[in-house]
Amino acid sequence: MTANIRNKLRRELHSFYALLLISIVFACIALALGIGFGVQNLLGLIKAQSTPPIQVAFTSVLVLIGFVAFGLSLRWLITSTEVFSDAHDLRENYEKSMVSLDDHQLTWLLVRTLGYYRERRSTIQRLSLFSKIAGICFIVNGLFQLAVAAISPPSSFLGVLTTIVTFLLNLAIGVTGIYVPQYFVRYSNAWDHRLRESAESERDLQKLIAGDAG
Amino acid sequence: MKTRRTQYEIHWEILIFCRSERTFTQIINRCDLNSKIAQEHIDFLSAKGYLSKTNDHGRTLYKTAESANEYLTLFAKIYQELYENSPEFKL
Repeated sequence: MTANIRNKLRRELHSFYALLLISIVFACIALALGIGFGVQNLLGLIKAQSTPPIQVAFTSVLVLIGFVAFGLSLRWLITSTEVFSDAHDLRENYEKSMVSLDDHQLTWLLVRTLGYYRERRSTIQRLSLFSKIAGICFIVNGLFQLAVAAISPPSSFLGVLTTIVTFLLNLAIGVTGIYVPQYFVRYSNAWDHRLRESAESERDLQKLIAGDAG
Repeated sequence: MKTRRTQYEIHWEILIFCRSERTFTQIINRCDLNSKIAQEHIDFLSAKGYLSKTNDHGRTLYKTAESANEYLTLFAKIYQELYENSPEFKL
C-alpha cells in the first residue's frame, strides 16, 4: 500500500506544481497583454482627431477592458505565486522524505498536504475565479478589436495582419484563462473528497480516545 | 508553510515526535504550535495516558506511552486508506 500511495502522492505533487507553473506563465503573459492593450488603445484614443464617435466608444471600452484584464491578471499572478511557494515547500518535503520514507513519514506528508489544502482551499477557488474572469476579458477584448477593425478597416495588409494576430492572441490567452481553472476544480474535487472522508474517519479516532481511560 | 490541522492530526504529530524523549520547546518547534496551544494538547494527551512525563536534571521530558500505539496505528491506517481510495488528480 505504501508504494502505491507514495507514487500517487508524487504524481499529484508534480501535476499540481506543473499546473501552478502554467498558471504563473499565463498570468504573466495576460498581465503584459492587458497593460499593453490598455495603454495602446488609450494612446490611440488620445491621438484620434477625426474618429467617428462609435469608434471612440469602442476604443474606450477596449481601454477599460485592457486595464480590468491587467488588474485581474495581477491578482491571478500574485495568488498563483503564493500557492506555488507553499506547493514548492510540499514538494521539497516530499523529496527530502524520499531518502527514507517510512510509514510514519508518509502519513506525516499526507497530514501536511491535507493541512495545506485546508489552509489554501479558498485561495485556490479565488485563483480559478480570477483566471476565468481574466480569460473572459481577453476574449471580449479580442472580439472588440475585430469589431473596431470592421467599423474602420485597416488600410494596409500589415494592419489587417496585426488585427488578426491580436485577435488570435487574445483568444488564446482567453481560452487558457478559462481552461486552466478546470484543472484547479479537479484538484479541489480530489482534496474535498479526502477532507470529507477524513472528517468522517475522525469519529473512529474520537471513539478510540473517548474509550480510553483518562 | 502554513497548514490548518485538526486536533487529531496535531495529537498524532506530537505522539509520533515524542517516540523519543522530547522537551516542550522541541515539541512546539517541530509541530509548529504556540506554547499555549501546545500545552493544551500535551495536557490532554498526558491526561489520556498517551504521553508520559519524566524529569531529567530539572528539564521535563515527554515520551509517547505504549497505550498510544493503538491511536497511532489507527490514525496511519485511516489516512493512508482515505488517500489511496480517493480519485487521483492528474494533468
